[in-house]
Amino acid sequence: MASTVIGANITIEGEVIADEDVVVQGTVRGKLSAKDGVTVESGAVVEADVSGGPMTLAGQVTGNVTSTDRVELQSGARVVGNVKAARITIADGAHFKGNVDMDV
Amino acid sequence: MAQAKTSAARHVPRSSGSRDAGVLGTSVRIRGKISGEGDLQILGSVEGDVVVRGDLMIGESASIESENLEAQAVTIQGEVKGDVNASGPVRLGRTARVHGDLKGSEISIEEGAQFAGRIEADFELPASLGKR
Repeated sequence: MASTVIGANITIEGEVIADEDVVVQGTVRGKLSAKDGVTVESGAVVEADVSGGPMTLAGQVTGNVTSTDRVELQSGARVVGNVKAARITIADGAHFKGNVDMDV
Repeated sequence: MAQAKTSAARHVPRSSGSRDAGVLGTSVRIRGKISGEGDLQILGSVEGDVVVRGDLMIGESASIESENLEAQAVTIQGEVKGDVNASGPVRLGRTARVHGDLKGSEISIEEGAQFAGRIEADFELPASLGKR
């Protein structure tokens, strides 16, 4: 259960730092760093560099994504930026523009 | 395609909460501006303005430093430094620590709450008092 939910009608402009899971349904501009998982739901807009643990991206992300674990781009996701993660999956139907760095 | 569908079902937690409510958890720190249409519950720390159309709930663990807090009904249980500008009622709970001015349709301060600032509430005086 995520303890932080940035609801669909909420916009945050600035820096978000969390030690727990973060679910974004609304808009975040600036910077988003979480110690744990980050979920960007379908309909959410993130214009920020995102860092954290396991990430599930189904919305729109513009910025660099850095994960200590895995990054999952789901169908319908729109990601523009570089992704750095140990593991990455890009589902059929996900849009992605950027570089992938799996730290081989 | 079938594969994508199963993974989507597995990973998107559509929790029971309504989509227009926001919760900022205890470990969350935000520096910047928060705005929105819906209700918002803040349990972490916020440095910056908060402007929401819905109700604002500031939990006991929250600490907020802000020039402007704007919402409909505002309930404060935590620490707030800054002015509160509510279109609805403002309620200071027993654990509230507020430094700033309060504006709202009604203001209530529970026993135990700490408050330093001005109170501005719009209310209609009874006709007998208004005549004076």
